[in-house]
Amino acid sequence: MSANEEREKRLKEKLLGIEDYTEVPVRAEDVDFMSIVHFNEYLNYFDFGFVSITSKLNFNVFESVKNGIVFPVKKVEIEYANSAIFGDIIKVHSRLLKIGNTSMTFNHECYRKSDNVLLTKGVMVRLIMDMNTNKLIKITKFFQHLI
Amino acid sequence: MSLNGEKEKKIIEKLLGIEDFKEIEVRVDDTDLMQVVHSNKYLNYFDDGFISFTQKLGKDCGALHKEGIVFPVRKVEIEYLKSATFGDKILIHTRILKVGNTSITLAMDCYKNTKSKDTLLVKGSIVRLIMDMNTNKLIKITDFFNDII
Repeated sequence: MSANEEREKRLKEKLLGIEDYTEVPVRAEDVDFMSIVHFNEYLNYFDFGFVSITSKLNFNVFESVKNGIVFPVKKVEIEYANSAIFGDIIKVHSRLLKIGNTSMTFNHECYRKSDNVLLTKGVMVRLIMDMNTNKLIKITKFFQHLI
Repeated sequence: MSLNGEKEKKIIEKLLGIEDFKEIEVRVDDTDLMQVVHSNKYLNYFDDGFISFTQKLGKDCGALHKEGIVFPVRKVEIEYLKSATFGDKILIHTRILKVGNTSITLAMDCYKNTKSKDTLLVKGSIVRLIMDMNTNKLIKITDFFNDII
């Protein structure tokens, strides 16, 4: 294994160990006519989870976006187990599940904070794109500052 | 096969043969800082597609909701292929992939303006249940649609 490959392997191992918890309160507009959180809102909670985990990945997502580095979503899979209502706090647990060449797969789980009941779990595949060149950035290159 | 089984089979066959196209316009607030429709918004389009689809089956979602009949979502899968922007129209193609006992799996594909291989924006599927909120019980799919044949 070359020094470069060795480095990439270490970096991937480090990335896969990173996890994060964040909390999001359910807003009045998140719930639908059934008084429960509408199913599409959980994707927004996943987005919160992504923004939050980036602080553990040692980069500023807001700065990146200002500089034209964006994180488009390639794929989502989400399963619904229980529902939340207005007044609940959603605890979003995020971790990196898989590092591809130009894609990273995040695992997100939403829990109701009051009783820790699992509400939804899903995966989100994200890319890293440089909008200045319209090219995808290699994941290990983007995170090379981590090791 | 019993008479009942025969009827169920016919309902399922009919359901699997129905498809619907619903056109919607991208709203200003559907797009994000990349000037494209935000990935989460396609779930709203899936709702639009589903409501239009049920209309085709003679079911009025609005009226049903008032009676307490709802369509909770169990699972969603979406793959993003291309992006749309403000000014585009989205064509939502809805069809049933699978009829379970108490769940239906729908294919939800979104196209930009017209349906073609090149305009496919997202490929999705959604698993929905039918629930009676008055009794909190799931309704058997073929019971719910027993009037379509």
